[in-house]
Amino acid sequence: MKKFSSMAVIAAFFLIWEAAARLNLIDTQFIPAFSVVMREVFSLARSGALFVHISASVIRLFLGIILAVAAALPLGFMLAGWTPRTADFLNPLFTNLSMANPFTLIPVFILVLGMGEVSKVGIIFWVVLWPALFSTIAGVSQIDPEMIKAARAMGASGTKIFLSVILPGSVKRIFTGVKSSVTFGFTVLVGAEMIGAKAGLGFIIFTSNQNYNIPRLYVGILTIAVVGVAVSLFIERLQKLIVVWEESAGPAARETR
Amino acid sequence: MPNKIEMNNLSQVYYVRSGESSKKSAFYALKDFTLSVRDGEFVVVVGPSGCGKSTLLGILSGLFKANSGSIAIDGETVEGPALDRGFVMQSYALFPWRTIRKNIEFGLEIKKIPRKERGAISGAYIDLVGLNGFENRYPHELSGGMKQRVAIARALAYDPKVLLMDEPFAAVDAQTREKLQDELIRIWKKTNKTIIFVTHNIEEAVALADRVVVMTENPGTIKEIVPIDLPRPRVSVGTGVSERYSIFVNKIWGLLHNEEESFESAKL
Repeated sequence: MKKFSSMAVIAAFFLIWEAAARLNLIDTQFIPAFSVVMREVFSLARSGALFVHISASVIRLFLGIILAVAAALPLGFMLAGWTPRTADFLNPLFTNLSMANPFTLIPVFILVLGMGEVSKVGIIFWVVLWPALFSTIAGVSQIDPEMIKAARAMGASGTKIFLSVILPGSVKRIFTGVKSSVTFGFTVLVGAEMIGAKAGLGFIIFTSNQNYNIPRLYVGILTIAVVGVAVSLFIERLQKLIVVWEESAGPAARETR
Repeated sequence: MPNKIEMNNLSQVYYVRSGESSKKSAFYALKDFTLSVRDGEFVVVVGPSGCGKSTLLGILSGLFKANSGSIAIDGETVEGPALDRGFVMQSYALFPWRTIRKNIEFGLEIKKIPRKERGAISGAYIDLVGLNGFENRYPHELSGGMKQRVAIARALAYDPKVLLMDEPFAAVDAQTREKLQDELIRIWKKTNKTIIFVTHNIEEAVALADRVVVMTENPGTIKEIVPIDLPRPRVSVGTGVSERYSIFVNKIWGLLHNEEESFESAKL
């Protein structure tokens, strides 16, 4: 029911848009009718160009995420597990680095890493790395020490404790950290592609603007919105697939049996 | 029959700052603690908080090493944690990402028991603690009493020689506690485990124990060992409480509160 009503709201929005254009309530030179935009979508889809741009952006995004997580997890586990004091000491730095507005860093990344893929993947890497790192540290440090005690009392080895207690015990927190940074990372990626790229969703916006191809500009806007939603839905699904338990350690329910 | 557990002169000292002086003074969590426990015996340790009863369990489990003294189980010196002891804690310490069945199988995985056998064993212990139908639930779906049953099943599943229990029923309400005590006695009789049970609850100690070890605080040492020769099942609350049960409770209460006269006159 909720799904239906939210779909209805979106449909109504497009309908009003279309009607406003047809009734000349808006200047179609700047805001073309929805049907005009959709025609452009189909023509870009038929030529395959749309998918080239989508996949360029999505591949950059996931490559950046995977690299950032692959770097952050071992580093976070080592810092939190072996040198918790160093982790505490460095955490404010990580927080500050993650607070630095990545948009301001885009020119730096392009300067240092060039116009190509490396700078785009690099900016995603940057955006995801810090939250992933400190949520890993936070995830490890909030594991109930009693659980580790229980595992140790059963003679569990260090490897067993890491794989069966530390890793599953921190994965939920890590996911929360990564999830929020992914949506933001996508936003930053589009920005980076608008400043300098040869393909990608941001590139559609940039070239349409340059060539005064207004319908195509809106194709870019709509596609970015749809891909953004799809990416966050994907991450949400992935989390539900991996984290199937509830961690609320609230007061124990009364015995009912 | 030789003793199951031999604890010899266990001592554990902490140096703590006391008062305003900068000098650290010695705090004897345990001092020359010597106790022998028979095979299949149910020993309950009571004492004021800070008397070293949890330290004792920590050392028995192998998680801590005593400053001095030794422990032997079946004649073998305890060197560290191992699967010959099961440990049940007050906070349950279940793994929230594992189902009840998988929680119970944790020790079996460490014991490297093949998956197929694990299923059969965990099934038997789920049955033992009366949690049939809950095997695929997660801990957060269970009440406190049920969680503690899972913790008991987890500690028993890998068939340890000794079960160590650190105030296991302190976090549940009185009614549940009573039910869990009855369950524990039933499980103990069925499995013939040797149990060392720590509590600060005197009624609980008398309801469960073959012998109650009464401890003093700093130095943490044995004040007296009280054998409880009451027939089982014992009723620990309500109108069914026997006179002799109350005498034991009063005696231990007196020991803990240094009121020598009160139990002298009780005439056991």
